[in-house]
Amino acid sequence: MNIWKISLKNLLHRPLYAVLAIVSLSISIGLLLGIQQLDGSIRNQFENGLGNVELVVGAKGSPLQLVLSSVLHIDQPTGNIPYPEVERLAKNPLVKAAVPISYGDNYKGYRIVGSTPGFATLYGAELLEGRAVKEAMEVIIGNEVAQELGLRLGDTFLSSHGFAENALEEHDQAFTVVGIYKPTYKVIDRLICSNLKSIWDVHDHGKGNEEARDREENGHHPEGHDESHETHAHVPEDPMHGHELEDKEVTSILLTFRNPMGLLTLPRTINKDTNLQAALPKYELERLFRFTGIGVKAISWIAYIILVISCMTIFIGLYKMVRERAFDLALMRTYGAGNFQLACIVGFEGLLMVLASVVLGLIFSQVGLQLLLSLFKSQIQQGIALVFSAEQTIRTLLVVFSISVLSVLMALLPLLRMNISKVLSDEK
Amino acid sequence: MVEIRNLSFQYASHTPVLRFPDIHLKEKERLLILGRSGVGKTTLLHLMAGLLTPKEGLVKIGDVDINTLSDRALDRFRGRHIGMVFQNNHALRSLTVLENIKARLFFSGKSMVDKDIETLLGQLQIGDCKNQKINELSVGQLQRLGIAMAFVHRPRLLLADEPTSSLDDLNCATVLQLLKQQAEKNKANLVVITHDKRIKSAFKNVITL
Repeated sequence: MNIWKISLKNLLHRPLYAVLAIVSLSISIGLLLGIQQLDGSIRNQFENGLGNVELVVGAKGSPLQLVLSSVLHIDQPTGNIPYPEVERLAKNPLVKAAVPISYGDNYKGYRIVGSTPGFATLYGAELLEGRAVKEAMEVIIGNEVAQELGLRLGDTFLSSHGFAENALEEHDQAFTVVGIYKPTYKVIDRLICSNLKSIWDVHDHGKGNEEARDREENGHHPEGHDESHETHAHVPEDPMHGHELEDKEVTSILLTFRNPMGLLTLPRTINKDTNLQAALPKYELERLFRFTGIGVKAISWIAYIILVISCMTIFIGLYKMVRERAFDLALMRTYGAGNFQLACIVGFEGLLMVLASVVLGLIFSQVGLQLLLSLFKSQIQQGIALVFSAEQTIRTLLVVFSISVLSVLMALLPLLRMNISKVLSDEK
Repeated sequence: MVEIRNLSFQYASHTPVLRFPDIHLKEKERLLILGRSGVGKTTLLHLMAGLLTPKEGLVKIGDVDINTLSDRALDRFRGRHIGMVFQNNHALRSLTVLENIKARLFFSGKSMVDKDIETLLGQLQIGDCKNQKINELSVGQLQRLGIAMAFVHRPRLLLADEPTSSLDDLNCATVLQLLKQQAEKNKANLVVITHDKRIKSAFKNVITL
């Protein structure tokens, strides 16, 4: 027999109270840890997803939309920009690399991005197997795409127009998988990467078909095609000729700089002097987090309120127990137990509840997050790697322990003031 | 050996001072303290157990003046050398009979193997309910458990507060017999306080308050 065993027996003697107190406290702990871990994981995912991209240049519109669409690939693009802008920016002495990207299609929800070899460099992506893209209609797939879709080297597939899986608007030119990237835990893991010519070819071909159909139906040449196709550039078969590239368009340009001066001056110059828009990914994400932070804070406050209510439940339960079991406690004094031992019995009972709540809360948070993330993945094909911050978890648990211990200590007050002789006489 | 001299107690400054007669008990001696309600019987018992601090006077058990001990030392002394029996024999409700006995031994800092505890419970005819919770016991079984709890750690002094007041004649005689047997076996002093005059004839030493 020992004090812990007596505390445990006391706790099990009142199962309903114990279960209610533990469940309510564990919900608040789970909510607190869960929301903090989710917030941290999303931030990490977004910030990590940026790769080395320091500036993104695209069509005028919302800068946040430009970053979300061209860097994180979770939104619609703002429009297209002329290809010659790529060359103009690449010649700027402050620019280390200007990587054009063009996109607008998907395969089973995974975006197909046309770019240059510099695109993989931005994300530090290396080939796991296969080779680099040499010809149009060849692709290297991100590791998550390979895992989720089960694509292997040599497999072919037809892309669909837009960003959602769509069998009705399928293009008729097949892409061939020639490489698979190693996992990077960045956005490139869920992209299908090709060269610009592939994207242009697919849409030129589509345009050709539409023009032929229009000619048959209307007897004249259309001025353009489907509005959503306007986000894609159109080029002749061979993009190697400079004069042919002049007519082409890309969706955006991803930039890295040689030194911080570029970051300070170029965005302002582009936004002021050109028809283009320059957006700083880190700055835009910070802005986004400021907005979403309000929601995170609101949920955190709700969790803290539940925490305080749960601790009050523990306090009331223990306080009531001390009063109701005054005779039991007095009896233990006659057995030779000191006040400290009695305080330990009551305190351990509270501590056992807190410990059980912490364990259950951790399980709640992890199970809840896994469910939430699998929901995210099935809804928006956006896998989020959970990041566990030991420091933040310890900080949160310290707050939980402090409030809980305070509740337990308050419950001990009547015990310390107890008049043993009076309790024994009254109960006699 | 128990010695009480010039003992007095006052609950509050506006309440009367209670004064108690001197008591001197040699080893194994038994004493009955009789008195009507409100004369201070329980107060005297609690002073002897160190649960109350006297206004003045001496309470000596063995060679120890218990009022010179620190709080923790007094708790330990009480746990090791004093056993108490109450009118309603309470025990810890969350524990079984066996666990209650073990808890009693734990707090008194003594130990006993399970077999010896079971022998004791068997002698008190509650061996069969060793794994039962307290709320599953009858009044008679509870009374016996109370006596087991008071003696299991082999105290020098057993204090019984109205142990027979709520019992019928048969059970009264049984409980008294058990108390005397256990006191004899443990060579302990037995002090019973009661207003129950049925047991007066069972004691040679009787004090009326």
